[in-house]
Amino acid sequence: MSTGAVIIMALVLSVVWGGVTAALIMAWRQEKRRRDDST
Amino acid sequence: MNGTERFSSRWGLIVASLGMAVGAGNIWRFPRVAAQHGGGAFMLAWLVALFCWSIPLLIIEFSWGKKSRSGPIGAFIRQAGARWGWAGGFVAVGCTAIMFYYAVVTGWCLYYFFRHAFVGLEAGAVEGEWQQFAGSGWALVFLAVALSVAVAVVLLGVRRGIERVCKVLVPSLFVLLVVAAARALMLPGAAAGLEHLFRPNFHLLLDHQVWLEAFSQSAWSTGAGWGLYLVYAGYARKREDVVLNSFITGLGNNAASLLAALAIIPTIFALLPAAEATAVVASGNEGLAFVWIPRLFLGGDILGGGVLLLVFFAALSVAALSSLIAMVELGVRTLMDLGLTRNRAAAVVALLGFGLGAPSALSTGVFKNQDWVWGLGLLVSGALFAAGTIFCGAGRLRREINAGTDGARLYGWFDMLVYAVIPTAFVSMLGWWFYQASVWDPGGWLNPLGKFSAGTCLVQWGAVLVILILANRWLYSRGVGR
Repeated sequence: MSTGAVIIMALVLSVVWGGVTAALIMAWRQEKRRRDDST
Repeated sequence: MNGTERFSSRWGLIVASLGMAVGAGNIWRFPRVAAQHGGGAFMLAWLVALFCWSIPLLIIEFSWGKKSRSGPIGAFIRQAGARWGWAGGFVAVGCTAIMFYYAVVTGWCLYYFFRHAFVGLEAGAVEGEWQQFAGSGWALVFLAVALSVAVAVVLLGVRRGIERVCKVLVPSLFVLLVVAAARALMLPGAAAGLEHLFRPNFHLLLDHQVWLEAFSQSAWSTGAGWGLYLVYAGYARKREDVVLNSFITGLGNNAASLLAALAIIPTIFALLPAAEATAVVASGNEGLAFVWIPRLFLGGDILGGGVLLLVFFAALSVAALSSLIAMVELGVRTLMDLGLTRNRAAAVVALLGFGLGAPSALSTGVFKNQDWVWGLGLLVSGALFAAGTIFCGAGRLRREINAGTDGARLYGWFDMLVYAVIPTAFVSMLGWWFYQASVWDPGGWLNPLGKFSAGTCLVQWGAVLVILILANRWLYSRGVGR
């Protein structure tokens, strides 16, 4: 694979998979904070 | 909407939303279009489309649904006023019209899964198999099977039906896609497929066709503007975070698309010379999924090719079914808003789905016409959401969303996307597809009976719009959205 293709693949995968993982972690922490606040 | 009609948890809403967004198009369309239209350049344009078209529309839908607690008609009336009921009606009719032929697609996927699981497909006979099956009585039988399963889930309600089933289907789908992608990437020669998929041809970023294909794919794939996310948001708990959930849905949908591309394109390039592989990705959705993939997986030199093919059909079936459930729920929700009980609404949707899906099951011409007309109709639906938001003020909606959350907030970029980018993208996409119709058939592009003409779109959309505008007062008088 060419270096350019590797860079684009890394960029796309990190934006999409990194983005969804970060968003899921944020949602999980939000739910945990709300649960802690309500108890 | 009674109190039991709620998702039980954040996770329940997320898996249902991902089930709605990830459909057959992620598996059989995205890899093909990405490989065909520029590889790396397409990928970059597709990411821009996600943030400029899909996510803003998902945010609008989620916000409207959570606030109105009703289907599209009620949401438009509640948000933009009594005169906008017809717009919600167009969204509901457009999505339901897609449900009619999407149930046919789901039936095809289920048929191929069961056929391969219990009888077995043969590499040399797959083309004849597809020609015999498409348009046959079996396609009608599996249309009924797909609709029955989806309607049964919807009949059980939001928590016991949709949420419970999606909690099984959606994680299974991601596992199947990971297995398929891992196997594909282990094939000797798979790197050629990755190179083709992510090739750095930046000059193509100046090609308008790459951008229009990327925006069209993003609009059709994420479910933005379909009204489906709005319906699910109506069942969300009061404290759900509009912005964060919309990002999870949009990004999660694209994550599934990437996995499908990593499973399919490297396999094709590992098994065929580059020129032949390029021809295969241009063979159309059905040609790729039901002829080329079985032929390559079964006839190529892949250890466990038969099992991999079963995984592929299972993923395709699960993706299609979870989206079909959302479409059936939209039809049911709309009828419930008009006064029917869930059971009666589900019966009406089932009968309509079978009656109006049957022509698409029996004729590929009807199927392709409906796919063309209502696929483009989704762009109109998306534009109607943006128009409703512009009418009320994007800044006002943004402040409402920010006031109701302790989590992710919206900033001025949202207003700019709603006022400038979405309308520009809509006009460009619709204009370009109509221009394509005039290139395909210069003499008949306005023919209302043409399969892929602008005329057939304008006539079918026009008929629906005239009826809905005439019925607007009645829709409001039924109490929808009040």
